[in-house]
Amino acid sequence: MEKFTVAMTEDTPEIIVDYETGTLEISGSSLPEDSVAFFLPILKAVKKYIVNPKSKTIINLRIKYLNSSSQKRMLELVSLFHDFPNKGFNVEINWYYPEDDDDMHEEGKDFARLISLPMNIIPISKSI
Amino acid sequence: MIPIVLTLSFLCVCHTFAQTIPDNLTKEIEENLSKAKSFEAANDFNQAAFHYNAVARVYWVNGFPSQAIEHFLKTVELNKKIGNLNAQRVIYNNIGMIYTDEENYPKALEYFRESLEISRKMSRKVDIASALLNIANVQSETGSYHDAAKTLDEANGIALELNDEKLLSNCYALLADVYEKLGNSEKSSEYFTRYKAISQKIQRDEIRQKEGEARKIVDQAKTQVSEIEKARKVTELELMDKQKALKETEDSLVHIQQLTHEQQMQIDLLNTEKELQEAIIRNQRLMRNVFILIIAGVLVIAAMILYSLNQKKKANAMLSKQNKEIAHKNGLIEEKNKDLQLAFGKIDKQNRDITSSLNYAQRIQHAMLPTEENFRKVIPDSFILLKPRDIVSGDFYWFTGFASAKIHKERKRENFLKLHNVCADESGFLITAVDCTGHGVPGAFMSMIGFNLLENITRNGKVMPNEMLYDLHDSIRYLLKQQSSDNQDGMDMALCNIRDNGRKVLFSGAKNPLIFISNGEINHLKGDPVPIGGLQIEERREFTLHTIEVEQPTAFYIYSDGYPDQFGGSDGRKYSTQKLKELLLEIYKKPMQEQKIILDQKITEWMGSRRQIDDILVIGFRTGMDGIDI
Repeated sequence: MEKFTVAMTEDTPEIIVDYETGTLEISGSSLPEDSVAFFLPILKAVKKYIVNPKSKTIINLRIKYLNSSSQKRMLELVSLFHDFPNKGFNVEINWYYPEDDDDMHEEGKDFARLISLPMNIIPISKSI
Repeated sequence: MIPIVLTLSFLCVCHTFAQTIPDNLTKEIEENLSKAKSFEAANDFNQAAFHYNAVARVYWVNGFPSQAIEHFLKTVELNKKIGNLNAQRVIYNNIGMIYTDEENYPKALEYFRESLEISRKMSRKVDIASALLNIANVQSETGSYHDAAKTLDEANGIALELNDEKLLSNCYALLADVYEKLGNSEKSSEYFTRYKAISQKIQRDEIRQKEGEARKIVDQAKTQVSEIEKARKVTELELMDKQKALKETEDSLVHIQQLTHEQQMQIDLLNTEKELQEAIIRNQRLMRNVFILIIAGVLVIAAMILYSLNQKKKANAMLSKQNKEIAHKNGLIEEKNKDLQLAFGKIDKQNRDITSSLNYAQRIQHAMLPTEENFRKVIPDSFILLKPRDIVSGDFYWFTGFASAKIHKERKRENFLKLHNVCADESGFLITAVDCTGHGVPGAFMSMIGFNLLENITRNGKVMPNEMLYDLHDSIRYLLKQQSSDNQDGMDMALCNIRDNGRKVLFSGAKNPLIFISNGEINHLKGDPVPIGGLQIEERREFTLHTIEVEQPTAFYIYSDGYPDQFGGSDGRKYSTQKLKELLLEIYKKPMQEQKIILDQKITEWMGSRRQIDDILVIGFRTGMDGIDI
């Protein structure tokens, strides 16, 4: 199945849903005027993946900025995987933040608290 | 015969006198010897032989026969090596002669015989005859007269054959001598007569030859003299001719000189005339040239003018063609322009409409919000900095004083809310900074809902920040039907309850923090990590109540994430909470109104040319000192 991709813009992040390798990549800043509209097709694509997932799924989040509505959309997106462990599927979530950005570090921690899945919070040395 | 004898005697004399070799000869001998030796070593036998020969001759001539013979023998050996028969013949003959001088007749014979053998091998009759003569001589000396006669016979035969007069003469002499010794006076005188005849003949021949040569020389001289005479005569004639010619030339030269003078004058005259003519011609030429130039110039200018006129005509034609095209295009553009104008007009109207409606909405929102003035009436040292991103804002603030009925009356807090369902001594001041999801219109809608909800909750008697947040959360979920709908909107907020005349501050936060600074010490109280509204996984959303005893003047700050999240600076980074805290620590002692200005300036600077990404809200207030009546 072909990858589902959304190119990065000033206000919206890059999205890659790779059905072959079982990876979901979200990189950049998310501050669209209408986050629901922006995330709708992405939610669809992810739901399609969940119908027939790989045994291990990797979610990589490299977020520079999330406005409050985008935060909620992201939460929705990640929560789609919430019962994977019960069904025997492995899911790994990686939250990458620039090592000098305490706010994104905090947001990562907050995000981790809100999802019921384990998440790795990883600093990276260059800003994204 | 006699010459031979004389030669032999001479040599004998030389022999007796020449015992030691003089110095000049030694040098010559040594030189030749060394050369001979080196040539011999180099296997150049020819050259070696030559030099040994030279040495031998020196010895021979200066009367050292044995050394001469020694070296001749060396030469012979070398000549044998190179097969030079003639050289061997001669050398053997020489050796023979030396032995003859030494009166060593047997040895002399031996070597003459060797020489003869070679002569016979080479078939050289003259040499054979010579060798025979030498042998005969020796034989005669040794008294072998018969042998000598026989030898001489053979020699004579060859001499007659060759008709060699010299040989014949020698033969006859020797024969005469031998026959005399044999006692045959008849034969002896016969040969003697022959000898005389032939020797005379030889002499005569020689004389005649010499005379002939002399005559030839005289004739040659005579011829030369006559030729010289002839030449002289010719020269004399030539000389006379030349003298004549010279004289004539002289005469004509004088004549010419005369002529020349006359002519010169004429020539001068003519020259002057010529110059005059030339000047006139030059002048004429000059005028003609100038005239030509002028005409040429005129022609060129005319040509240029014609050319440019032609070009202009062409250009004009092209221009008018282009003009037509442009006009046509212009027509099209005009049409397009009209269309664009229409579209622009529409868009502009829409834009204006939208802006107008936003402006109107903003007025409503503004009307709803309490003023900073009223805040400062209760807490004088305070500020509210609100910078919406768009015209209407998703960030809002809300505050109110409240008091129980009893306190309301007693403390005359007219502008405070009178609450009936609180404790009798309850009184305080609530203030909150709220960040609704979204900004602009959706944010503004949420702010309306939030604002009203806060009013309601307070009027219901809930004044504890944590309880208020809980009610707010519940209400939002209920109002937006978040259990069943997709709606996830809500708000982040920091809510403070200031009481006891500002000596106590209660705080609860939904994601947003409280910062307070006193005595150079900064405290960062984080709110609960859950927002108001939105997804709820847990049973009940509980919020934490923080209590702060304010014993000294303390600056408090509550804010939305708009300020720290703003992108800017040289690398386009977020301002960050860290930087905000540093800034507040720097300025917290200043009057709050001044701090408001500084905060505003700083974030504007930081933003630079970038756009504001979210609504910005910062509230600051100072309590813990006298003068606050809550």
